Amino acid sequence: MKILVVDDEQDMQTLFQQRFRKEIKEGLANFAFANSGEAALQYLQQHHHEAVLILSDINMPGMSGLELLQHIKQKYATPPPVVMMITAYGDSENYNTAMQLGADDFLTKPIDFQLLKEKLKIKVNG
Amino acid sequence: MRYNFLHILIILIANNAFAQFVDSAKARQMFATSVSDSTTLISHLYLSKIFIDINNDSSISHARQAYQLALKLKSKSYQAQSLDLMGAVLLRRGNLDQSLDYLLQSNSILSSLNDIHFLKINNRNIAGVYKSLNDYDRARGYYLSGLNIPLSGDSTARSWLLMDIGDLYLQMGKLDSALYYTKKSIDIISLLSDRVGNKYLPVALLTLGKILEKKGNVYEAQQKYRQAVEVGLKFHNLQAAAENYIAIAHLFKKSGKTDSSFIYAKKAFDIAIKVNNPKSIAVASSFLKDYYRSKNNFDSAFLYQEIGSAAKDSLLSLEKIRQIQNLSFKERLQQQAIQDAKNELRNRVKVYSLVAGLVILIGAALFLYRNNRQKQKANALLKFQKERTERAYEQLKATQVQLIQSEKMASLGELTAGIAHEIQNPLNFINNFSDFNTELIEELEQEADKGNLVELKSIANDIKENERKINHHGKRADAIVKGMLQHSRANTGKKEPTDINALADEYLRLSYHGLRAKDRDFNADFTTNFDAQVGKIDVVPQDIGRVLLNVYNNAFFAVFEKMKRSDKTFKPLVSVTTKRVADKVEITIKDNGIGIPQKVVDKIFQPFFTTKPTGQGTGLGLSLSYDIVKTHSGEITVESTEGDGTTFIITIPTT
Repeated sequence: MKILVVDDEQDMQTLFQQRFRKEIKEGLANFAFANSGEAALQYLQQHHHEAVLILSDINMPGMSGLELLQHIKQKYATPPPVVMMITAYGDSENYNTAMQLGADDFLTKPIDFQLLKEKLKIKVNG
Repeated sequence: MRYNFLHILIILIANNAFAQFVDSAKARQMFATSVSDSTTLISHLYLSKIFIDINNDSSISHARQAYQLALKLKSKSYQAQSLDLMGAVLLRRGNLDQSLDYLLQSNSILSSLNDIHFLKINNRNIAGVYKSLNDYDRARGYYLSGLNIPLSGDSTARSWLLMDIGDLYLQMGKLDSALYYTKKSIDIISLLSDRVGNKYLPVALLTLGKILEKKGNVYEAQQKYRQAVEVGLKFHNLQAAAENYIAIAHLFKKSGKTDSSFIYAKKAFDIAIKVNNPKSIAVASSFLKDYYRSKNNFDSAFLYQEIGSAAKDSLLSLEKIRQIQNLSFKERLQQQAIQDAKNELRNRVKVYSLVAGLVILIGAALFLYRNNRQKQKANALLKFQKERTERAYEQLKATQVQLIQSEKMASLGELTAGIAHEIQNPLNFINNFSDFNTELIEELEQEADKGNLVELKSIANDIKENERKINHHGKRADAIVKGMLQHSRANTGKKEPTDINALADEYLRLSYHGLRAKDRDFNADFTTNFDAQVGKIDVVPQDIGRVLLNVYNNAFFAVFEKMKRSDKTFKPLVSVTTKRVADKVEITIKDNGIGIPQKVVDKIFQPFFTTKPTGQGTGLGLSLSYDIVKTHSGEITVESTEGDGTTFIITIPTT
């Protein structure tokens, strides 16, 4: 299972790699990272055959997370990849927009990794 | 010229009439001391007075000589007396022109000397001239002013004046007034023992008789005439006696008593011949001629007719001369009147001019006063307005300071969202890495128990790495908070070596996240191209930061606006480039937004100019930016193509 993390913060990569250290070691999780929405789309285009779970930040320069979400849900209709939005702004407006665009889940920063891991388990297994 | 006694005596003897009148004792006394000019002068005056009703020629000759002496002696008083006498004589001669001339000269001297005694006489004489001219009003005026001169012991002069006024009223036909004044004059005269006073009594009585006669009181009139004749003969006023005889003759003739009339006419004639008065001779002759004709005594009638015509001729010629003189005199008077009128007009013009001048002056003064008042008012107003303006300026300055502060706070508000995001991220990392480190330490303990040194070392490395991350993000948050505080500070900070690239990057992010936080729909891409040569230069970081923030915000706003109007293919982009050019640093902020219309581009640095809807922009952002760059001796320029985008170039000198 490939998990694509989209965030303009470089350290997000480090954080995920450390948090999922065991999972990565055990081969349970495989992470890819993109610094922007554009980079994420590019990655998806190159690895379109892979089953991908996307974790995306919303507030990014250039293409925002919501735009990325919109693109993905339109472009990759079958099977639609699981897209989970992670944002610092846990407001209802962002949440509603994300859900409207077909986001599979909505998490707020700081990321509760225990919660994330449980959700990922459900998504992967389900 | 000196008179000696002999000389005088010759004159006296030459005039036979004089023997009847002259008070020999007085004359002798006078001439005895007559060795000086002044005495001679007095003698001439005396003689002139005596001869005045006897012989005009002698009288005027003496008066003239007196005048010459008075001139020589420079005696104003005697000059005036002589002139008055000359005027009086000429008045009797009917030479009114010359008479008035002398009398007025005398009048002016007497007035200046305030010689009221002679002024009284002079006024009477002048009145006489006007009476002869039938100018009754003026005559009465002079008589009354003569009468009004207060003088004690002036009974004689007073009686003459009253008498003359009586005669004047008689001529004017005002019989009651005439009677009043004449009686008054006679009352005074009858109290006089003075010979000169009594000399004129027959004249007054003649006037009184004529008044009574006109009133129809013939008997009383005749009595007065008879009394007059008696007094006239006694006090040597023969002319008056003759005239009274004629008046009596006239009365008798009217009542048909021709014989009686003849007797009185003959008496009048004899006296008239004696005093050589042609008028009386003519009148008396007329009576006598008529009488002889009625008696058929034609020889006598013829004789008296001849005498009468001769007298009339002389009288006529006299009358003619008088008429001609009077005509020319009247002409002169008229001209004088015209001249007077002219003078009066001139004076009036002068007065009017003066008044007009005065009015103009007053007007000008008022105008100036008003101007001055207005100027003062204007000055006061100006002062007041100046004070108000100064106050307003002070208020404005205070307001400006407030505005700058509120602009700062406003931009701080704009920043807040960005800052929140900027702080939130590092805080998240700190929390995440810290949490994870706790886990790692637990793992570390487990591995230590196991004695797995390799794993132990690996975990320790991770902890160390995380610790560095925590530290990094902690510093990041700290820097943001410090920057925010600096930004909101009212006073401008101090210049310090500042990494321009870092500053440009920091504020670009702040701007971006701020706008993102404000408007969920907003998004734009940005690129940075920083020249490492730029390095650190001395600027007030928060000030330059504010400039950058403003320019960034505008750039993002412009691209967002264009995005809203364009299709999906439009990629909003803001690019920031720094470049070192010689001793300057250039920061170029380029956007592909809506651009600025040409008509607006010149105004964007003006205070309070904004294209944003009311309430959304203070209009101070770029104005303040301009000021800040100027205080850094730098420049901020703008190039824009409407619809294509805008480029701001901020140039700051490195030194």
